[in-house]
Amino acid sequence: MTLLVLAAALGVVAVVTGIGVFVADSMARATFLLLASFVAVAVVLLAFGLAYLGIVVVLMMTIEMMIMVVFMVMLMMNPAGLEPMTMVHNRWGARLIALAVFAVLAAGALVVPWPVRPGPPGDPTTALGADLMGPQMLTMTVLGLAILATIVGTVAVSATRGSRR
Amino acid sequence: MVLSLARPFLRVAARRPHVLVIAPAPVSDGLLDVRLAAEAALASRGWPAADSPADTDLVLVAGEVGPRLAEVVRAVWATVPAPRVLVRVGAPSELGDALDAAVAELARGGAGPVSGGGPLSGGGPLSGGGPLSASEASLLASSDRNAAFSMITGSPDDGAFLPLDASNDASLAPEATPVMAGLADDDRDGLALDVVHTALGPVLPHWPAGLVVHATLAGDLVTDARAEVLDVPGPRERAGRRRTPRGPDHLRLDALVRVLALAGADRAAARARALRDGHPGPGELTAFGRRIARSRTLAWTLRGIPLTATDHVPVPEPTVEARVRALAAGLGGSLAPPVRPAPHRAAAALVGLELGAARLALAALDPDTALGAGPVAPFKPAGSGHHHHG
Amino acid sequence: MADPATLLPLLLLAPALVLAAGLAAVAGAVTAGDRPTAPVVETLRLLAKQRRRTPADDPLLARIGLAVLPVAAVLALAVVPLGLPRGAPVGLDVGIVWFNAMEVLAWFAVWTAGWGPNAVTALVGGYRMLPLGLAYELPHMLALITPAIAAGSLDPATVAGAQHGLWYAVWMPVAFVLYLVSTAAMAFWGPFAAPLGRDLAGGAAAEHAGLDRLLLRAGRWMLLVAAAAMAVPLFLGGGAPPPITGPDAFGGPAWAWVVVKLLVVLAVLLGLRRVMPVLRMERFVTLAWVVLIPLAVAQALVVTVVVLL
Repeated sequence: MTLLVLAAALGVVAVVTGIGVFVADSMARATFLLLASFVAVAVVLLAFGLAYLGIVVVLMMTIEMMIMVVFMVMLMMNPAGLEPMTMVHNRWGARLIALAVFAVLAAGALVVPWPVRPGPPGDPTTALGADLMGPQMLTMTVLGLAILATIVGTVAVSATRGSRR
Repeated sequence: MVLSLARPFLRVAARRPHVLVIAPAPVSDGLLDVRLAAEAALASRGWPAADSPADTDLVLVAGEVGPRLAEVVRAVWATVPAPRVLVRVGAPSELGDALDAAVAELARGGAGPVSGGGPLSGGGPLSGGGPLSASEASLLASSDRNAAFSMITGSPDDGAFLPLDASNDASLAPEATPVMAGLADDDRDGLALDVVHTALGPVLPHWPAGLVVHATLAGDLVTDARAEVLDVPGPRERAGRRRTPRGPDHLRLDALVRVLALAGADRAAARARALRDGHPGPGELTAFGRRIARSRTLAWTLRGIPLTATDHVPVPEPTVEARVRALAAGLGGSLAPPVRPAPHRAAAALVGLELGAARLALAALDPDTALGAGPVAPFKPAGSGHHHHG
Repeated sequence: MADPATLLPLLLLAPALVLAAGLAAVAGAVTAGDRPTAPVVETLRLLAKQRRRTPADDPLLARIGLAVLPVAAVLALAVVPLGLPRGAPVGLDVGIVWFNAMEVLAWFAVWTAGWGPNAVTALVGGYRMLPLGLAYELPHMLALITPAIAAGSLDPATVAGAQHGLWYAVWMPVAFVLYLVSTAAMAFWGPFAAPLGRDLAGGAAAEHAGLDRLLLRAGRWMLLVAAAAMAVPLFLGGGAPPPITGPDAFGGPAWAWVVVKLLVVLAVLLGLRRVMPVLRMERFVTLAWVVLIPLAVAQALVVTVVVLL
């Protein structure tokens, strides 16, 4: 019961901060609110005993927000939102798409037959990994390494010495 | 509240004030004397140099200040948080007494008698506005070299704060223009990226005295830079080599102090400063120079910063790394003094560099600010038809 | 959950970290040739100093960031087994991932601290935290994961316990060195102090005075100590005495060994500061992506192959 109340409260925090993203008039605040929204969701996961998933959400979303900031600051020098900006474009189209996506997701949540058992015994992290990867674990690991090697190779080739002029 | 608690702290804190030295361009040897004496005095007392006005307890104006630099001093002083003290020193002999009086004032709270809830509570919006009081202004403008040092204390609540729209970044902007983002006129990538027009200097750590570089920044990239030496219009013709009683090694060490300190090689920078301010033997100089020239870590971090502008070559060395090695290797020898470019040529070499690299490049170029530059018309925002996308 | 014996270490964690960070700052001042009292004087100075705002700033966001920094450091330390009888203050079976997540919050903290004041140098300083983070984070993650692979667990206490006979610092020296480098980097300290660089008049700290500045400077030492403390269970055998002279030749309580090892790690870091200038981000990013990441991958690969065999 306490868990449900906590989850509901955090859900409200996630939604409110999520709405805040589109209300805020500064890119920095929008980024912060989006991060806060994700962290609220992460705490829900933590509260349900999915420690790994919850922590990974915090880790990944913080890094993701910061990478977004790289693009933000790279493209505009507007500290603290000195000049007003808006996160919303094409209001009607955006609303339609948002409603449609919400309807699909909500329908999915209601229609999908959720398992009733309390979950497999043992480490949920291991179970999650096995479930996601299945028999393709080796393939995925090798692929991951290959992708990383490609990125590093690209950086090594493109890294030029000297100035950027 | 905070204040009564803070009171005993003040006395302890006054033992190690952070000092912001503001010095005019060394158009005379006397002005150079004051700046060097000030830096030596701070080092011998173990007082750290302030990074920015926010970090400052004591503003030390070293030498006679012209009207343009006086404006800057006033603007900077307005953004220094209390407790704070400003002293102006006209000659090296005044330094000791001036610094002693300044810390005594700081220990009292830097604002005369402090009262509850007043200057220390802070955190509120910038309020007040208006110029310094007449007496303060006259102290700053005073050009009487024979007068004893003068001192201003006070909290920002005294009404010395800048009006809100005066400056985006008072530590950098000597003229009180709002630093607004605008669109680049000619962007190297062909993208309409935002740029910011800002004035770098004259109050920056390890920055050439009196120099302002009016820069356009795209992110942290310098896309345009024009030099101005406050109160010294120029560029003047170099009337032969100016005689300096200090000799070429002094020039080399002065440049090395800045480069090493900016590169974060703190111990080497302290050593260079001690050698510059002391009377080292040639053996000491060559040993130090050899150590710097051979340092691999320093070379590694300085690598890849060119010292060329599009239409001219300001110094014989092509990179910061080579310039620093040449400065260091020349120590204690009988080589001719290093070439010091005119400020406008040095500024032109900063275009295309990242801000940190530009700072190192400027320190290594060590422009002769006594040659003067500018004045430069401040950037005027063209219009307000500018918007941002999220 | 409400057992006072488990709550006590949690409550003492923050003061203990502040104290340890203060001592580290004293050691740092001495190494830099300053007086040992300097950090104390600095703290009192900043407490007595007025806070400060700049025109058109965002003080709320900046102060959230500044407050996050010490909190993240305490939360990161919470999962580190410090050799206390009941293990880490918070026993978490995925403690290593938690530690990583908390330390990434420092990116956010420094960036908002630089963004908030609406000033050029502060913004550029805050922005520098991003290349720094993106450069050190991948080698750092791999350096964290390598001991976890060897021990087969993401729990720091299990990793510490798995090093009987051979410390991972010896077993996987590349991962250990990379971890030490990223310790300094995540605390944007020493050779990685570019976000607060002197060339930017203090960078992200340039416009902050008083308590705001104190949070940034203290939070950075706290982060450094917390990260250095994590090296003890991951690479130096946790609370176990050195295995060189045979098991339990020295004896002594586990927490004392943790403290001794932590001091050694901090001494190494302070020594690193002494010999290295501040790295320019342009240089460090290239080094990280071209040299450090391949090294870290190779180290993880070697350890994985050995573990699988």
